[in-house]
Amino acid sequence: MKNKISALMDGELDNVDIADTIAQIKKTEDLRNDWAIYHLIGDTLRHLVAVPIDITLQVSKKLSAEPTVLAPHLPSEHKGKVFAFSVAASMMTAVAAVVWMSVQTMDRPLESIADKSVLQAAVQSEPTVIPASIPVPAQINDYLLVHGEFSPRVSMHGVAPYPYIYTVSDSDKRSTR
Amino acid sequence: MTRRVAIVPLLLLSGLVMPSFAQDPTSSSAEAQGWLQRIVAAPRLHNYIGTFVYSSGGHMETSRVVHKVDKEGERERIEVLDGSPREVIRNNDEVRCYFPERNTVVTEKRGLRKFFPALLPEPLSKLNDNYIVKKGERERISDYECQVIVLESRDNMRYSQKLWVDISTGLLLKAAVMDGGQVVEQFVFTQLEIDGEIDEELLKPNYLTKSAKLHITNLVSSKMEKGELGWQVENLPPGFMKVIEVKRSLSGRTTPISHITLSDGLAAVSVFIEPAEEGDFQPVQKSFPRQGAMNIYTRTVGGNMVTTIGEVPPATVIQIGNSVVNYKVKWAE
Repeated sequence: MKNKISALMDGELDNVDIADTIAQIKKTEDLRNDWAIYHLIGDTLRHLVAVPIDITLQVSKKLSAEPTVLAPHLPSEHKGKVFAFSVAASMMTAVAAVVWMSVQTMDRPLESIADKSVLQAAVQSEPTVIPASIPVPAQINDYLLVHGEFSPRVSMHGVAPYPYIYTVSDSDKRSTR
Repeated sequence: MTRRVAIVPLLLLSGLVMPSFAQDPTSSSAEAQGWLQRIVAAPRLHNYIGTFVYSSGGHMETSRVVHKVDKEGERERIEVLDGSPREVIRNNDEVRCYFPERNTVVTEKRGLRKFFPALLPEPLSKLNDNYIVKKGERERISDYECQVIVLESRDNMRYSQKLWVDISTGLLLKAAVMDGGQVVEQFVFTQLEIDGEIDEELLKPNYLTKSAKLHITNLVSSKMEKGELGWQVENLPPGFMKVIEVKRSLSGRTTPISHITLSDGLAAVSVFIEPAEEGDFQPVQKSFPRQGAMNIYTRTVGGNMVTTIGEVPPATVIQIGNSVVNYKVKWAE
């Protein structure tokens, strides 16, 4: 269950699991504590200053006062062009999570992609963030291993490029050429 | 109550206190650069055995490392202790990654680093063009007194780095990749013993390899002269230069892949080009918040899949990826 809480926080659960996990968290105080602690750890590691106040009640009140939206907004148009994939670290049992962006550009670069505002909208804008886990193509491990030779972490730490070595499930493996 | 108890070691772990600097804020300190050279040299001079935590975004993972230097050179075993078992064995230039659950071993032999000047003494001036190297305060990590060194990026095309260096050995005991004031990823030793005797047994892999299906990442590569590859990155972000272009044979591929590496003196970006297969990299219309320092970007060019990866911000991999051109395709147009 703890893994699911972690995955929920990272936006890596599918809809069924999300509902199930939230229901469990609602029911069990220990899980609510885990939820709070995981956030605290995350905030601390991201250097956000943790404020020891509980705003759950206030947020709940605000939420219950919100009107119900029956027709949610459709996702913005640029989504069809820019795709960012996240390698869900916990799901893939990988060490590092990576943003995977892919653009189908009909053999030429999309000029607009270089536009930082578009990029940031794609990567950061909240409405386009959809929880899911995208399988990593097997060759990415080879690429990362090769890249490791040139990576500052390897030169400096004297260690192998382990943080970026993924476990790719058999179903994700690329067919042998 | 749990929160308050937990936060104290976590705050220490995260190095929340930023150092203040007395130096000229726009120029690198020669002393700080000297520390960088020590960091590069230290793993070739010292044994160590310890446990470190790697974290990125909300994810944390603990690993055990054994590192030995003797007449046989530099050898190392890293075992990931959380999640699915993984193990990395390094014997000088040869690296083997064991994935016991997949019954797979990925091997590679490094031979190109001699062409790659990053973080060796010579290109420090280049480093200065892109980063301000500063000496910070002293902090204690895993019971070792450390000097903090900050590499502050001069623009937003690269991340800043913060390094904690053991004062007596020069070993790197903690490192954080920073995007502005936010930690993108970091690793830190939580327990460490330096310069003790290391039993040979500790360097042997835990997992049997006889039955393993050997997935070989063959890095035997041929270095190419400028332009020979047929691929080029035309619009480099400021401060980045091409370091090497090679053809590589990877396991399971009959066609060698093209590989170009760029560097700004610290951060490296690799571009890989190989013929695209139907079904490769099927894009999904989903976007996610960035996590970790590594960003990956793919696009297709003339039936080829171009993959750009590096520990740089998303805008940088995208700019580089979009600037990759095939001269044969270009001339044909």
